[in-house]
Amino acid sequence: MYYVDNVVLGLSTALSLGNLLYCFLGVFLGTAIGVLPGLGPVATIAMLLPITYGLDPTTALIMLAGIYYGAQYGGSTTAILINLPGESSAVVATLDGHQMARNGRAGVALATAAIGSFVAGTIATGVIVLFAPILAGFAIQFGAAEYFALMVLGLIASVVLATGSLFHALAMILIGILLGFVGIDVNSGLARYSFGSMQLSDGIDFVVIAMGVFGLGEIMANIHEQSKQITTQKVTSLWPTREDYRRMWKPILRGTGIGSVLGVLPGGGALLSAFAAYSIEKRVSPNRAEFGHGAIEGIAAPESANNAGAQTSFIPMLTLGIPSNAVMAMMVGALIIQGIQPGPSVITENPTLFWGLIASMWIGNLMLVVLNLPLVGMWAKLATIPYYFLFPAILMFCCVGVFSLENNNFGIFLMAGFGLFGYALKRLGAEPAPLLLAFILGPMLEEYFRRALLISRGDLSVFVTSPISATLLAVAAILIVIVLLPGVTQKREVVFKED
Amino acid sequence: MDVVTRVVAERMSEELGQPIVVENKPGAAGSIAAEYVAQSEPDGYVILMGQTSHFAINPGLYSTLPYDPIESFIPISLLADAPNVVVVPANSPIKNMADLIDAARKADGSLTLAVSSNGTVSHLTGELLETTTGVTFNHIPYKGAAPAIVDVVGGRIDFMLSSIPTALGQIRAGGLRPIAVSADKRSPTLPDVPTIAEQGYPGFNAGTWYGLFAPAGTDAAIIDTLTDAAQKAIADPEIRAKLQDEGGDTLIATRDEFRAKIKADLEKWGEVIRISGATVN
Repeated sequence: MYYVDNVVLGLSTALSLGNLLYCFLGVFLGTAIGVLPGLGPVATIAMLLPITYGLDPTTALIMLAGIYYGAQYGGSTTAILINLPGESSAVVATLDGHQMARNGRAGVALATAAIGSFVAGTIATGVIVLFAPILAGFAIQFGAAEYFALMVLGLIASVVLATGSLFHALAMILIGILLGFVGIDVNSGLARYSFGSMQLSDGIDFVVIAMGVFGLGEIMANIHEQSKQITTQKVTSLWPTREDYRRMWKPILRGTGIGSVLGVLPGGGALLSAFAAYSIEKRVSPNRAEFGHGAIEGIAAPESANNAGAQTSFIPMLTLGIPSNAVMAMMVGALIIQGIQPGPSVITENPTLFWGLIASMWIGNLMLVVLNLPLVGMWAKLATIPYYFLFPAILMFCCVGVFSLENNNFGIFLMAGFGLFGYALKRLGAEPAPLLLAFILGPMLEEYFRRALLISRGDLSVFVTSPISATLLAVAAILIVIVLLPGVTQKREVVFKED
Repeated sequence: MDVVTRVVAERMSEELGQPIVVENKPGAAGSIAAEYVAQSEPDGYVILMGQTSHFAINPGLYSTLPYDPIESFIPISLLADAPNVVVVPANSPIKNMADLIDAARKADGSLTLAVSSNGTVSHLTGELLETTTGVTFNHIPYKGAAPAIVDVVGGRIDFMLSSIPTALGQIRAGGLRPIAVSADKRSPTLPDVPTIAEQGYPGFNAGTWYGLFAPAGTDAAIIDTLTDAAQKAIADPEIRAKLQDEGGDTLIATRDEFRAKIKADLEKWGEVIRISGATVN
């Protein structure tokens, strides 16, 4: 009865006319900023925050949440169509999603992402209703040693994930880690690789690298190849076939499971879950040879994972009062202004807020799928726009997006530099996705490693005495063995030669 | 910080009859924002929401600072201040400051203190606590308060000096036990929690203040108008109530008192930084 009462309470709150309207406004805005490269939910929510002061707290949160998961949803659109990830968690969508677009299956890729996201959103909402307190306890269990082990596993999995040569993959990861080290060191407070620049002392923003390497680099490579269009072929099919549905359902469910669990972890949960879902799919799929060439599993699994992760990342904020990323921190600020202290007491003191928000997430996901499926045809046509219209537009949005990060020009120049770098990578045939993953995971790896040792006073055994950490490290070790086995190496080379 | 800025800016907009746009300029512990205002046209249209770290801590920490805390600005008005709260895990045997200092002495430097970020008021309050009490802690730096709180709630860290709003949710739910506040008076949000000074360290006072600043060279009449609007905003009981929800309180002070406070804090934190040997770049 407990759950039924609460779900009824939530639905009756979320279905009020005003809340429905703001929920729609939120997901609509979220999709829009997700589609526009570089404009992220952080800047959008910061701009819209003053509007929410006059609203009821539940309504305000429903709208802000809609912007957040709407952006996760829309972020993959540009990744698929023009190989430009709008959000860090959409990086994985560039791998097989964009290949599908190149094969003329852009519509299928977009529809798969939309369907996967909806299924994942629905299941993840159910997970929050049933398991929020248990998952919150799981997040508390993760200390420095456990995070370190998780990051090791993530980085090793990204080697497995890379298509093409192992040498390129390792090089990308090392460069990514080095780029991640730019800025002030957490422990000593010393600036590293900042060359005395005040702007560099805070490190490089993910968006700057993604827009530069993927956006500008792609544009330069396309102009070099003198292709008139980004996609090499016309759009041949819009909707998934029966065979496509048969191939996507298992990856969607696996992705949802991974995303629901990893999304709860503060810091990089959604991103890690997309990468993890892709790596696992690549291992277990019967069609693994197609990965990197437009496998539908390669878009279904990570898109489901990142949307599930986006939903469950509300758990630490709502149940612990701990924001897991910058967007959540902003929502905490919005709630405090409204006089609500996010934390374990929210469920009991503000049940309408808690259950209303959760119910609105499911409704919002439904709205997203209704909003996006009819648009698939339109988006797919976007890829056939001639480059002399599309490229300047992408360039402009990239500049606006990067400027909006810190309101200064420095990021734009930096992005231009990364554009050249991205172009060089294209010429060398190196896949830049592992670079972005390492850029995010590398510094976290270092931070958690050093923190674990600071707390243990230099005793390395902390990494194996914690059962969670020991298990994760063991899995990582098994992965290394698999990669080093001669059979796998040969298979990698076969894949490489097919390119 | 954001909440204080937005609450006061909204009320001041009404007072001045024109909108105030809050522009976040993050970076280098606020130095980027301070530099931006210091170099803006002194016409009263670009002002800074400054706080302790811009004016009293960064000058001691950074060898090169793109602004001068005294010469580059004219203080408009002090607005509010907020103390930090000393929190320990709910199941910790530490119940008060005496227990904490005792545990630190017994642990001989290995009692862990979560530092939300190096170079913050919270970090230097920890250093001040060490110089005041004569014990040393094992400082564990984080990137922000949220992950630090998780580790304290999870019992992996012995204690933390947290801003009140960050810890309040867990304090009310019993995940964290507050044992002291760092200011010279108790917090209206946590009236039952005694100050550090009350628990045997008289004079201990470390908090964050927030105030508005205009670039040097701004016309005195403009400053008067802004001061007037700011003072009216913080005199509003509704604004005060919102700031108290944040764990802080409004601070009514004249411009001269504000100026004296900045100089005193610059000296106090400069001394803490010198003794502790903390630096950035």
